[in-house]
Amino acid sequence: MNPKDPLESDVPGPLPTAPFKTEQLSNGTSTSPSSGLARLDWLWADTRAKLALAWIVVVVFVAIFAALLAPADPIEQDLRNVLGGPSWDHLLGTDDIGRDYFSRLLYGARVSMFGSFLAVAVSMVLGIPVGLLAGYVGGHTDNILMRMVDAILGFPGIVLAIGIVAALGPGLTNAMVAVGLTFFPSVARLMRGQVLATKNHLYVEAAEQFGSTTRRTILRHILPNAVQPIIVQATLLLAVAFLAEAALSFLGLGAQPPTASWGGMLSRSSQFLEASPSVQIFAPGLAITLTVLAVTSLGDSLRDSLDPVVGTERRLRRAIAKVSKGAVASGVESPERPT
Amino acid sequence: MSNDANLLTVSDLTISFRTPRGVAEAVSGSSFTIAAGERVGIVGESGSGKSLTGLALLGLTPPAAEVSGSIELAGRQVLGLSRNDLRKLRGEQVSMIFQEPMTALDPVFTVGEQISATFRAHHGVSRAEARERAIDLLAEVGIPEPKRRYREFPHQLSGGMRQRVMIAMALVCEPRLIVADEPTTALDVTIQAQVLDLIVELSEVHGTAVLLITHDFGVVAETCERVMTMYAGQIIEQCSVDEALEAPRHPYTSGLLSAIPRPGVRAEDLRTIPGRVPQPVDFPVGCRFAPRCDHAEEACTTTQQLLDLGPGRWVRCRRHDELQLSGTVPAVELEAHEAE
Amino acid sequence: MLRLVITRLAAAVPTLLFATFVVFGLQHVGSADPAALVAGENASTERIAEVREQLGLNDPLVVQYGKWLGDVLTGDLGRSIVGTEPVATTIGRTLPISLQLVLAALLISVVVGIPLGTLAAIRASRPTDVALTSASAVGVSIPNFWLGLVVINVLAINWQIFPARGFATIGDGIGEAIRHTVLPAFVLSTSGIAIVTRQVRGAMIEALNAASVRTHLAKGLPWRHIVWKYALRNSAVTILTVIGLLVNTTLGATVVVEAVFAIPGMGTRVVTAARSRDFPVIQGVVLTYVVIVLLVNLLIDIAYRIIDPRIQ
Repeated sequence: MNPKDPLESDVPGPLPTAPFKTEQLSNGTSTSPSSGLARLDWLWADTRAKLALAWIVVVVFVAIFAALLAPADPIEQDLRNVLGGPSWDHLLGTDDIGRDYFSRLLYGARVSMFGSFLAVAVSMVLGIPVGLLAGYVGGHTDNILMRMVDAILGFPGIVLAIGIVAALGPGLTNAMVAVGLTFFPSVARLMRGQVLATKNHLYVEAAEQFGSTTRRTILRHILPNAVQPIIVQATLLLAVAFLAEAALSFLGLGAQPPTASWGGMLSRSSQFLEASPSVQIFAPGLAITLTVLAVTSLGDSLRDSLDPVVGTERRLRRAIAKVSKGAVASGVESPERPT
Repeated sequence: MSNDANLLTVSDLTISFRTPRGVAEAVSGSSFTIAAGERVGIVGESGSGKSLTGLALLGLTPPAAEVSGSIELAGRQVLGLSRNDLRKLRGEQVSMIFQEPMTALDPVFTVGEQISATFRAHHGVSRAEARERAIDLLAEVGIPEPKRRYREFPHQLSGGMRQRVMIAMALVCEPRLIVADEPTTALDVTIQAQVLDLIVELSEVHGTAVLLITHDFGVVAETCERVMTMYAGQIIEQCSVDEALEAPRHPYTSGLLSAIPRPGVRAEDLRTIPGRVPQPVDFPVGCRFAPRCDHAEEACTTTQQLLDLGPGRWVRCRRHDELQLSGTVPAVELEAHEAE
Repeated sequence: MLRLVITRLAAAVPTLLFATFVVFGLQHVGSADPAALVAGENASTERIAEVREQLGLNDPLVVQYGKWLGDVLTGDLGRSIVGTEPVATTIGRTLPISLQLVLAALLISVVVGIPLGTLAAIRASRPTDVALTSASAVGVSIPNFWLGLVVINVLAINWQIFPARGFATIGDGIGEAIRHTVLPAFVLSTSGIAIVTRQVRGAMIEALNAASVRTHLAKGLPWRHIVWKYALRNSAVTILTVIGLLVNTTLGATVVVEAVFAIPGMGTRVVTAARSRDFPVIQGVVLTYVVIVLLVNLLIDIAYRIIDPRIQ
């Protein structure tokens, strides 16, 4: 029913599978053609990956050691010093009820990290078994499960999450479980695709060689091959979950006061838009943006390095471009250059 | 070798690429001419540089290719032309037909539109006029019900018809020269003959010269008047088709001919040429064919020259006058065949 | 063609049905007791029991579902728990507003994204492409509500070019409508532009690498035709797919953007409903979203067949 959603792929391909050619969040750098100037986007990708990892390490570090790093208690109010600007005591000033903004920022990392991991965990715990079942058993079970998966995919993510939060009650855990539930269809589809691909591959192999494929063999082959795409998928989902947590907290449905969360902090600042020091509006948003960017970049790099097909493809393209007498189009750049 | 009356004069054409292992010359110092209305063939294995040669005539070599030498078409130098001039040249003065019509044609546009577009790109005519012309051309290349076919898509036509459409596209602006790169290789054997006949017929009716690039000597024998054999980037023999078939002067040409399956010769008896074409980076010094040649001598590995054997005939083999190489058919049989 | 529409609609029914089941199930999933919510905060236990009977909550779940579905199909979406406006009316009031915003954002995403993606494709691997691809990555990573805040801060408050809050539909005059729609639509379209750019880039690169491009060049067609007429048309299927995906994500993102700009659309309404656990409203709104998405998918499915002659 869904038009071919680029996020989904249940098309079994050669093993190991790059499950989707294009993703919603990632960069699709694997489609870049090669030419002499391709050096540029290679180098860039590598530096970017390193920076991304560095930033993520910083954020995780802050999340874990927030209590040690924060100069003040994030929920301690000081009503004599409301919406104060940056000072030595308060690096980013104070919020509308006198709490130290900087400390809240640091603690916010904890909320975001915990929340996004929770959502991804939920999606995996639900999605992997469902996908495994659907792909393995096939037939009607597969049909029904996939229809259900499709149905859930038909909901705009946040909207469904909001609905579930309404049922469960607001709060960080509930919100992220809800988000995880909205993710699980795409994980299920991915897993199912992997199972089908493995099945295909093994049947072909078996046809070529003597012997039959046992169920054991299939299982034994599925999991190792599925690990790579699942990890890549997990990374991308982590990024989306991050944004979702921020949005839900912003809407008041996620982390509840007085817990500090980046989305929640922005929500409060927005109510006092004119009076808040500008840095308070920028800091949490920047933090979110950079972290999501970093996680996405990491996901891209992971995908490109874990997937031998892509890597080989790239190397092959560059080699071909150099010695090829193929079509002009091996380098898309201006074939009109007179030769 | 340069003659002002010729339609196409190629001098010392060299196409090279930079590779991690050094400069690779995919085409080395090719020189040949084509007269107006003449049909000339280039025969060679993959890796001989024949396709690149054809592409160079339209300025369609890959951006990574470094092309030097001279290509004079109808008095104009093709190499170094501006983008715009090159664009005007293509399709109008010189066209190209490619090997795989299914992929060479655009799948989401009708075949008629693809022909009209060519015409409109070079002549400021209305859509209706271009359409009329396209339909005329579809009829001329032997496609029945051209008006209906105009509106169809490539995947709705058979392989042979698709190739006819390619030919129509190539002819629509009445170019002086058509370069056909393996035009029949992807087709059924029965259709191959039809398409080749079509090419010959159109060439004669319109006076269009044809450069036929192929690995199959039989194709050249059916359609061309002159032939060049290419090996490892070099033209190693150039002569008329009859001369090549009767008495080739280069061992490679002879080898190619011997390898053609024909009645009376059992498959096991077909002579093949051992070895493979070397990579451009690995071309040997001296004669490039020497490593695979039955008649190679010590001196063959150090030097190689181009030897002129008279008008329109030359060869790159120092032993050409010593060797008695066999062609495909003895001269007597050939005459008898032509008499039929 | 008609047969195609019917078959596709028929295929959508099971999915839609299951979706309605999910929507229906929402109010029974959590800890909230629907009867208690309706009865009010200080209701006595008897009152709550009364309400429960009234609402038919003692019937088996399947029966309740059936009743609910029946009601929905006849247009009765219930009433809000907070205030008693019929949900259908609420949706009738808020849907046009949200739709205006979503359509504007989609338009921007496509109109800006396609040229940018094409540009990135023809200058692939060069600085322009690297810049565009990086910008895309950033565009998808920016939380749209934050972008909204920043934009409001700069453009609406400091420079006073556009209004910071509120909305005006076309019914209120085109000029006003545009003034109020521009900022939120632009903010909403940011990630859309990024996604479209990226997908178009990928599709165009593939299209430009096709063998048919060499033929077009050999025919002497101008490069700009080859790119904008032939390659783009060959990428149409991918572009349509992206648009389908985009509708889904944009609808979701509207919820947040409406909140930032204080736009009285469906998104804001569902958030308030969520806070007060107003299930009839939540269910009505979520159902509306699902129907829209499925309809759009259907349209795109049909469009595939029109656009690409190879698809049966």
